[in-house]
Amino acid sequence: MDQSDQIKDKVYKMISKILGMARDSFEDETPIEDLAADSLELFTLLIAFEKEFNRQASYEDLLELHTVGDIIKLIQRKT
Amino acid sequence: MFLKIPKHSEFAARRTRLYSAVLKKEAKKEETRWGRIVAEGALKMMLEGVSGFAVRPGDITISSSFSGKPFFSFNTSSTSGRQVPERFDFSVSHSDGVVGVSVSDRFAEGWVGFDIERIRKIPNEACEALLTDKEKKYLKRFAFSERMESEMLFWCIKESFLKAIGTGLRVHPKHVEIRQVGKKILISYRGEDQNARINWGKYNRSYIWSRVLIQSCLV
Repeated sequence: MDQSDQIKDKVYKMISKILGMARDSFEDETPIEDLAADSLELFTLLIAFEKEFNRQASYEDLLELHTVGDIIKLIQRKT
Repeated sequence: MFLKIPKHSEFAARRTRLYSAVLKKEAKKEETRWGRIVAEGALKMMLEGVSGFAVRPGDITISSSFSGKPFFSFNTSSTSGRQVPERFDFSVSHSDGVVGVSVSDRFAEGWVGFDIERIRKIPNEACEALLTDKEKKYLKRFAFSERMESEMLFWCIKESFLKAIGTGLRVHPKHVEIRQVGKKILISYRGEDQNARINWGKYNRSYIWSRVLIQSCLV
């Protein structure tokens, strides 16, 4: 598994764990609003990503994200 | 199915509507979209109350600013030139089956931010990130269950404030500091005390809500 795939796998695991969603209930094209996360869950996810990947995204970066795939691409870009 | 929560005077007085969504698990993803529908419904009722005439579906268009703050505009062609005040601000929040929308008169009350959260333990890492050192020190005095609720209240108020000023999570919640002085809650933002009106409460013993009114919107 190359680094991109590893990042994708980790992101999926974290979304699944923190938002309590089954792995097969979302995909790269899933809009973030379809994750039905409230604001605190989104913030918790953000903090988890920062800790896991040891990178900080600006909050402007985050508001440009629309799908799960956008999250993965952002982390891949910053890692 | 979207059920309106029976009228609570504290919500009615603050032009806030709560709706309980009885959603099947697979429909939970619709919760966010329902928030928009609820906001339109609440705005419609508020505007009818102020303007004195019926507001039809399609008269209101809800959009988001570049920062994500929602706003509405009126389709003036559908109102046949009648002057409809567009001085209202509103804020929407949803959490685990409850959607709430709060409306304010910007001229009389200021900009509004509203947040509702199901009461649960905030993960330690998120708590560590969102609370300032003074807030952590203050909250340590509480026993576990009280602390859990207080931490959630602090989150709600920070989120409400950031929504009211129009930045949302574009600004890190740690830039907002909450102090409790007796029964009064005070907010400072980037070190400056804010002239904010804060209301908060519990709904159904399972949710905490807060509503913040502030005179200045940054975006």
